[in-house]
Amino acid sequence: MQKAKRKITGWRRVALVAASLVFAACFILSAYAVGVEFAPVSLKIDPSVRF
Amino acid sequence: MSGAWTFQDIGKDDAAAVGFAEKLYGDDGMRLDVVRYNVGAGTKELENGYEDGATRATESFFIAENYNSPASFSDPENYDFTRDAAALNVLDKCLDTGNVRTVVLFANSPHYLLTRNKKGNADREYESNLLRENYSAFADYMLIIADFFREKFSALENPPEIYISPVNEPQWKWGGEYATQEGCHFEPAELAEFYDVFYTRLCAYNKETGADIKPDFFESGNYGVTGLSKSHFAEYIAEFSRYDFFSELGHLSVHSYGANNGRLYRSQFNTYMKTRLPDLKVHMSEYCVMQGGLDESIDMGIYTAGVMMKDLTMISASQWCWWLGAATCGEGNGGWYEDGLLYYTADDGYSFFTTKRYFTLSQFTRYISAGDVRIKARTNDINGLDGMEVCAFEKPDKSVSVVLINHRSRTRKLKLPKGFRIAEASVTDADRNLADLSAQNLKIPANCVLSLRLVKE
Repeated sequence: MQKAKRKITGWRRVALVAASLVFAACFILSAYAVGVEFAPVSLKIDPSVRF
Repeated sequence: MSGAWTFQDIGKDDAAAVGFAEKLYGDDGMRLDVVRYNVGAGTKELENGYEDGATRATESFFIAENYNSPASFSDPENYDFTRDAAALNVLDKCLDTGNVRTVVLFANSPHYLLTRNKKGNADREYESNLLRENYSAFADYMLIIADFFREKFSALENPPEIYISPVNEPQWKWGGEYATQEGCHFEPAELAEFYDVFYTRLCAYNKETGADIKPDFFESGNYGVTGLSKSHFAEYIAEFSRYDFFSELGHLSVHSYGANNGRLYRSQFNTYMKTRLPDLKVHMSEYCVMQGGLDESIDMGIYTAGVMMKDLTMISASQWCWWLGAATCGEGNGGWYEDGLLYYTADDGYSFFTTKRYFTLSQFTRYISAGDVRIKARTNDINGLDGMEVCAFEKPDKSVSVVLINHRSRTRKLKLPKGFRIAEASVTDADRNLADLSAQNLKIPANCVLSLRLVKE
């Protein structure tokens, strides 16, 4: 007999999403801290805007 | 940079004066183009009690023995321009480099004989020491000295333009028992009244002689514009605006003390200037790091470069001057201080040395010259949150000079703007000073100030 799937609802779903976001943020920050560069420094200049 | 105090020491030694000038103004040095010459109050003639008084007290061109009344200051016969010879010697050596475009004659205090207590500081804090009846005499004092310099410069192939700054940081207390240098406080209304007298005299002088000497007002001790600022900047401006001279000014000179590496402070000032005084340029005429000691690390170099970068980009400073051209270890002022571009010892002949500050600030003059125009520049690091700061200037030949500061301790890849390639690159970081870099696959080194010259592909 097939076992019924258990649905995650309500506050459990909110907690799961929040935990995932925190995990992702920690992962990105850790990578950044050890020197992984996500994008080069992109230099933009606009000679038409003069000061 | 200014020649306050140490010009009169360094200039005693011809070789030292040449060495100083070459390091700061020479083609192989920083290639600076503004000299701020300190017109002293003559306090060397007094028992002034300044700490480190041997250098902070000054020599004046005015012959005190000829003094009968304030009117004596209006007679050119009462001046001896062979005085202050050491300081003049350093100025000459700076001029010899051919790179000096501007000389600012600045006074920290009126001549002591024109003051209330006949000293270079008031007896009490926050008291103006210039007697009101002597406003004209002090104006004449500055103009007769300026006339000497104008004559002197007229022999040069490219005479520098002359500014006169008769008052320095009028907000501060300057007087009292613990004064350590010449200075004079002015309340806003007093200063506006003095400037009106001075400006009238200056215009008359220019008209009579065909000169074009400009006023340099008001060397504000800082540019805090909120009601909380001790500088009362807005109150001074309000008083100036009651007089005609104010509408004739081309710029205001301010000091970056208090602003340091902050953004909010500059943002407030920039908003104030844009909304209330949009036609006035800003000259940042004095800054040093107000702390004792001598930090020779790249951190101090980058810190100072950050101050200059923000003044260029956030308040659009069109002139930027460090405080002392050279500093030495004062016996009475607690030793070394973070106020020199160069440092020297004179124990066994004059010997100059530099800190990282000299090199990080030199990165700005590496490819940027007077007359280049600042253009819009940014990186994908918004507001420098990821430690990047940038400014760019366009040259008449359409090449672009860029200065980047990397505050982070990591090397960064660099993506250039479309249509440009690197023609030259130079860097100062912990291990290198003004080192040329290969344009091939160039990366931004960690904790550095990087200069680039970009040309169109």
